[in-house]
Amino acid sequence: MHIKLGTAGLSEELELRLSLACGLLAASQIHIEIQDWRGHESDVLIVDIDSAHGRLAYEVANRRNLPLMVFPRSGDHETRYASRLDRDAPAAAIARALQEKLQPTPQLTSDDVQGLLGICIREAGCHQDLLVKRGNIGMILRHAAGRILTRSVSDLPALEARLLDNAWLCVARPANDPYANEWLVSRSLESFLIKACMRHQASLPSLGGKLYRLTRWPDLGGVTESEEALRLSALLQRSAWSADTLTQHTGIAATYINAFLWATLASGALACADGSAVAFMPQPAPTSVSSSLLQRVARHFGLKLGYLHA
Amino acid sequence: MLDSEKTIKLLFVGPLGSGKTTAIRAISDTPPVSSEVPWMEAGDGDKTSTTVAFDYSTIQLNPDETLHVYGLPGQQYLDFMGPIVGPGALGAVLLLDASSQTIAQDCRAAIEQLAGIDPELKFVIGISKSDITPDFSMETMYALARRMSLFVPMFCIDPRDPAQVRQLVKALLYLL
Repeated sequence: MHIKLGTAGLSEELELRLSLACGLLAASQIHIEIQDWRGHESDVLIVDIDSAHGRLAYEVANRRNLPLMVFPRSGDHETRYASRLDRDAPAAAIARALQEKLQPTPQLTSDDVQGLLGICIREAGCHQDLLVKRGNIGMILRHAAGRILTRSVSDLPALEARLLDNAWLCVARPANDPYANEWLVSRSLESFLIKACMRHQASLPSLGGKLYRLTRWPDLGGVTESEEALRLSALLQRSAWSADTLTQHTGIAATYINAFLWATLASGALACADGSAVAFMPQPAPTSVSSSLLQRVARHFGLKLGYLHA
Repeated sequence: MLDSEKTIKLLFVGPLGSGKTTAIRAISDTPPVSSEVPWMEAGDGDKTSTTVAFDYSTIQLNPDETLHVYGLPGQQYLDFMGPIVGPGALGAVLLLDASSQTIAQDCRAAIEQLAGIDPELKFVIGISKSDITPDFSMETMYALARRMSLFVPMFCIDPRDPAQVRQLVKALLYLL
């Protein structure tokens, strides 16, 4: 992707950071040619409102409906500029903002997610047993029951590995399933999805800045490898969070949080809190247990101190 | 020894055969002192004994502090043990048997038992034997939770697995 980027009124220091940001975007196959803007054709124009030249360019570009990004005046927090850049932002942040402008992230729907994960999302709450198979690997999905059935324990990691693969076949399980006796292994759907999404965390699309909240605690009985899932569940069942704010608040890797959100969304435990579908969750009543005692018990069970009431 | 309210206590409650003794054994430092007797009504399964008073074991938190773990008996006629042993507990782990036809009623009865000890007592729910009960549905439990306005962790666990029992206790700690 080759982009012509015009600049108007930028200080040397801003030009330098913008140049660094454009260099970073080369890693995403976005090659940017920066030009001092003199009214010629550009894919995007960046102006600094602090300078007279920048203000003039802004007016002209606005009249011509050119794609525009603005460094507003220092301390100007008004939102009249549709696309604004933070003049103190590091090059990486400017690069992200530019990338979003040039390649806007589409709003994700369940149709955007393929494979087994997509099936789980689309069949959320389904009361019918579904036979889901790909080649000789398969499972019975009992979504509303929160369970899956497989033929063997070794099928579980195989299913996890193919979570995002295409070409899964999903049909209703026959009422008189002739192979009913073959489905010997019964596991929690939620534990399966969390493990599988963790395995594919680098490949899952970002769920972005929407607010999410758990409508109930997910079944984490089989997710004993890390305490992050417990911690995220504790936070998300108390109030609504976006993936970004959870990352900032907890310090947990953004990809882990995103994977956890995908897994619980697919299991039906997570709901978007922008609507009114989320049930009211009472805040837990204060406990009479002293915090120091609680911390000592927590330490014994391997919980990191300071996490409990985060 | 049994009923000092200053003792740090953790309770395991639940119906007969839900895996309380097994779960306590899985996380304790010492083997539980159990008042187990042969179960005359035992079926074809593995369980051949049942607890008639309570289980007791300990977890050493540090050289000076011990967490006392009590498993309350599952039989209704032994309900009087709860108010004797339970007061002052940190919280409780409620274990249920997924293969039971009366799991919802069992859950409700155990919650009432806990409320009889302390209405503010925090608890988590562990469901055992879900891996050997192909027809088990969490929907039953979620529906019950909605009816009772319960927002507590409900995990399917294997009480023989220390990591899974500890997972329940960790979830309980997040509620406190």
